Amino acid sequence: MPLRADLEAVRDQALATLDDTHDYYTYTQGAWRTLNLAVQRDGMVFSLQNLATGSTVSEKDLLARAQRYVAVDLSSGTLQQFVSTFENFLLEVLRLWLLAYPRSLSARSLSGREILSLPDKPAIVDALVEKELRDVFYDRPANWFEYLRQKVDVGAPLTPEAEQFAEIKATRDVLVHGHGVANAYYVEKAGRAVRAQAGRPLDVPEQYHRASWELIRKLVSDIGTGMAAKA
Amino acid sequence: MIDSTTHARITVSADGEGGPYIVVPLAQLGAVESMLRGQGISFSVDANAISVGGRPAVVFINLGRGADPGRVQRVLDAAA
Repeated sequence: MPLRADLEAVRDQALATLDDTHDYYTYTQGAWRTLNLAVQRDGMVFSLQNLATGSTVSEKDLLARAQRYVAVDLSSGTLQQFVSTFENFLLEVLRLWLLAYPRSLSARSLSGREILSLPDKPAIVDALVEKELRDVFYDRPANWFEYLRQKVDVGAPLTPEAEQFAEIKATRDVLVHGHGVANAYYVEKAGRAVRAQAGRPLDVPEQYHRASWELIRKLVSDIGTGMAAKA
Repeated sequence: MIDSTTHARITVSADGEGGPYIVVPLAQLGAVESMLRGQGISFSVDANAISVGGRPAVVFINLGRGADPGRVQRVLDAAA
């Protein structure tokens, strides 16, 4: 498949994944709310048992947990999926680009041991691309976009969008590694888009969740379409 | 504030984890949002409006983990 078609396919797959994740979020939230109404307004009674742990809950016990499941866990989990989907998308389109134009990696080097462990030139190029991308993605999102601009000369996200994404990525890091409480790393990485000072809980309210999904969807669309047009 | 569909008092639910919330008829969402904004109370509205058994749709308003449910209840009651 020519590069252009490959890039468009990766873009379309990422957009479909983002939409599917948002549907999952919205309809799972709706299912929990429907259960809430069935219990609170219609008097539904039930009990559930977790056969693995042996714990049991009544309908009232479950509703006591439901608000956290919806307002904290579900929104946090799907926000993390939005960020992962974007990272996978950007990694994949850059990999396709570098494999198609490997001369841009001419300054990269592999050790003799690495080269001798590889069977042929395509495997060496693969190894160079992986090394390059590992270094790029270890860096901050602002530098991902700068790398994209330099390598592909595609319209990288505007500064406000890049800053907004950096804050979303920093939020994701706090949710995964920081127990949901903002810390000094978050404040520094979030920059001007910071939402909470160190020590404060970092919630994912509905408006923020929606805005994050919209921004990431736009970035995937703009970058994917821009790269395909240049291919 | 009275729920226009059930004619019951709109109450803040705070019996659980994840922060207090309010359930309001979709038709009264705008009025409740204005009231909360007017009092400087932050909130977020669910992505769904839910109708069960053909009854009028309702929406859930999340007040966040740091919210004061008593204060929000007083605001709602003052609008009765």
